[in-house]
Amino acid sequence: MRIKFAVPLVMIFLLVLSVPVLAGDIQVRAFLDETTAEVGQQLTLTVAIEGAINVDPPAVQIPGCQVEYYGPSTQVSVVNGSRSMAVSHIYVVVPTQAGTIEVPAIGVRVKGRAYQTAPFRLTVQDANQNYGGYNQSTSQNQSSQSQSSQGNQGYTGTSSSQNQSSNGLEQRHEGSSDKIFLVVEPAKTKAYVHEPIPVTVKLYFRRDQELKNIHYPEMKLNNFLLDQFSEPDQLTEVVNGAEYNVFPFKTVIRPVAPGNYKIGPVTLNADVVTQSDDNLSAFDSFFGSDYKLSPVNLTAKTVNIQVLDFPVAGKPADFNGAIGQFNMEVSINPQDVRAGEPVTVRITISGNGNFDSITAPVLDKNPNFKYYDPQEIKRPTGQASQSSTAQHEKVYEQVVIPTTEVEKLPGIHLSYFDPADQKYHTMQYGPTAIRVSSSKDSKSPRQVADYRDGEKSDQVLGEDIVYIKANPGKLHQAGKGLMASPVFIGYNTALALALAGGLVWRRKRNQETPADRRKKAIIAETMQLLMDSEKLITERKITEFYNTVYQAVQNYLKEYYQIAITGISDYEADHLLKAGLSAGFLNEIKDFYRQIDEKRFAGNAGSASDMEQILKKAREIVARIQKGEVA
Amino acid sequence: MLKQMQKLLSATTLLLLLIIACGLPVFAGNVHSNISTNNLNALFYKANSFYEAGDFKQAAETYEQILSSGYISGNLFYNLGNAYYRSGEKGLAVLNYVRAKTMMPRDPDLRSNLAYLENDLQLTDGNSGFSRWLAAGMLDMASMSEYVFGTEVILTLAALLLFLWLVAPQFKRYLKIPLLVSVACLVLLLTATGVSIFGHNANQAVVVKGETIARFEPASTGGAYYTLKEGSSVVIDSTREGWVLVRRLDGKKGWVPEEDIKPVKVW
Repeated sequence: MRIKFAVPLVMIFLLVLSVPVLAGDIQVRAFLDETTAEVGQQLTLTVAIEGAINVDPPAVQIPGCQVEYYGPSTQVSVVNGSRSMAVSHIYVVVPTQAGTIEVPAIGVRVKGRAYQTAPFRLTVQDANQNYGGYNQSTSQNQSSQSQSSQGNQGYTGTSSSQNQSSNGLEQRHEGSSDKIFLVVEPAKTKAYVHEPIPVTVKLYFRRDQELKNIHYPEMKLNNFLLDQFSEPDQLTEVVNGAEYNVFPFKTVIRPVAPGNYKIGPVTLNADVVTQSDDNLSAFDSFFGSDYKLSPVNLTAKTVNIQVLDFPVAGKPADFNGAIGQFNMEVSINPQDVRAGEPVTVRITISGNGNFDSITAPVLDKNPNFKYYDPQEIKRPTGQASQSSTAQHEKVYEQVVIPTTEVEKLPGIHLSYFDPADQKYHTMQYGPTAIRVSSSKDSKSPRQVADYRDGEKSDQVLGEDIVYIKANPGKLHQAGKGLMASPVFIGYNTALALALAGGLVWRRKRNQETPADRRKKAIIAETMQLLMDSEKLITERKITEFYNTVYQAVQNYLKEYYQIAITGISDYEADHLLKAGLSAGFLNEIKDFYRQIDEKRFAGNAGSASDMEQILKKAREIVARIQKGEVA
Repeated sequence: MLKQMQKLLSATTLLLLLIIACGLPVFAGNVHSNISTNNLNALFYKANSFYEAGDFKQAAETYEQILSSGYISGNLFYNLGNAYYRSGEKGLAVLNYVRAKTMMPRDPDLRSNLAYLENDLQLTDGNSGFSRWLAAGMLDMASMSEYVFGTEVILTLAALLLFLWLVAPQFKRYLKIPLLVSVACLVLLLTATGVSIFGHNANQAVVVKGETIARFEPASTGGAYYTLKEGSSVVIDSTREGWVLVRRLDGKKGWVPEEDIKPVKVW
């Protein structure tokens, strides 16, 4: 009765346990880091997928916003044996118009199933409205900065990274005068849309100042994409005759729309180490507690920057926003294929420019080719991508399949705008000669090999398959072949055991001495002769009988005792005595020889019983010697 | 001497009887339940009637029904291949022909159909190199069961001769050549059996989709590496969340969706 209730209870319990597992497999959600923003403000959109990590980034399009994919972030954790995983696809979103923007549901495919995020709204304010208040505070900063900056104009640096930018504006820490200040230095103040602009934010502090807990700068930007700041090196510069430690924080910004903008304000937080004014005990003083940290908030002056749109005149049709100086190299592999086989086109774009925005070069359309989407194989990453002057590389691979015989691969081209000469350029490669032979070259498609006579012939038989079999043949259970049968194993074990037995027998036999084997052979031979003698009695072959019995015993004594015996003379008797035979037994043997000699040579053949007696005696002699009863 | 010969003959006879007694069930080892196979035979004939009526999809489903019961035969795979071919599923047809080939490699109808389909799909055999050619030749010659059976026969003969060699060294001179020949045959057969077993356990698979792209990564965003035609043979290396890492005959590895290929081995 108890079991009757227990079983359903256990099943319900297991079901309850499994429900979260079944239901909580995949969860998809999307969110912005801020729900209210300004036009041109850079926001971060996160599409988080919990329960899987191998998920492709979904295509995100938000009306009124420019969206750019930033990259994935995966997380796998194991807590108390329970494994959880998640991937977040990060997008940079820049609103381009004011108002309420509806962020639509974003479709995500996970393990073949479609999921959607919940739609939500983003409130975007006009940048100018908000800037009113902001500029007011900034202008206050600038008014105080303008005074303090006087003393820092025309500073000269001694390090290689020094930049005599007239835009540099230092914000002195209150009470620290010009001992600590922050400067923002863009590489250029006039740039084109999407053009990477290196920006350095420099933290200056006098040699007699000590800073701790230096944070990364925070840069306020509108209509720009901002890369991460790199870790700064520590340099030394002389400004107005005073020596400063300098921390240059480098980054790259990319404008997303034409117009006049400001870089900044840029702020940075740090702690200044100062002497404590408190009366300290000797203990505190000893352990260095007579210093204290005073937080400082530094602000650099904003810098004006003009962003130009690409010129309309001369814009190539395939221009897709690439800006910088680029080179293109192409490799094609293989160059000798048959129709229907893939050809991999590897395109390497090198140079400097906006590699993050650059798209794959275009292959000219040709109906004789089947095109697959180009795949990005390599791209500049991390710090490498943050300098516009360093040479970088981006590699694409595209698979194309010639569907028929062709002689050339379509041309490949990529257009870009060079801000140095302010002109468009188009890199062109090909058309390239390749050899595409017919797919039918190796085999005739309609020629079917004939195996019916046991051997393959090239006779053309027809263009269809042979008919089905009338019976199923020998059906047997899958996985239960001959080798899996226990009988098969038993059979082979029997074989192995038989061989092992033979080996053991052979080994044992090999352990016998030659003398042992000889004695065995002698006794076998003697017994055989005596058995033959028995037959001779029934056949009444008297002479042969006595000769055989005599030969049997004679040979036995000769081989057993290793003596050249011809009878029992003194010589043989002496040998046999030495071998351990007793005199009494020796006399019995002598008597046996005498009786045989009488029968053989004296013509006294005797009856059958006499012969049996002789045979019995011969067997007794042999048996007693074998048993050792000779003493 | 005569006596020894008699003893030897007796020992040999006993050994043979022992081996035959153990071996008889091996040769009758595929005895199966008459009841279940009768039902399966009936299903087979039913599937044949569907095929004859031109209902190839129904025929394929019925043949698959037999397979799902766990019973297989070369003819079953052959007919299933035909049914799939007639249904337009050429990849599945190749798959089942390849499966049938492992059980009846010398069947002329099967070889003809497979060659026809390989030609139709423009599949290359990929057996370049002596070792591959030799292995393919061995696999074409006999099935794994046949190789195992042949090996057992020769093994028994060699064991018998070796046993005589051990227990009757006086007959060594008569045993020498037969023993050498049987051992040589045994080595050849063991090699062929090994190749056959390796071939059966090599995780071979066949592309059953029209054309699939092998990618560098197990994701649809992974770079395209090469394409695989329907009916192409590949070797499965590993699997990962709906993707399979396959090795083409030229050794190139790429990830393909799990549903695009099917393994040859069903047992």
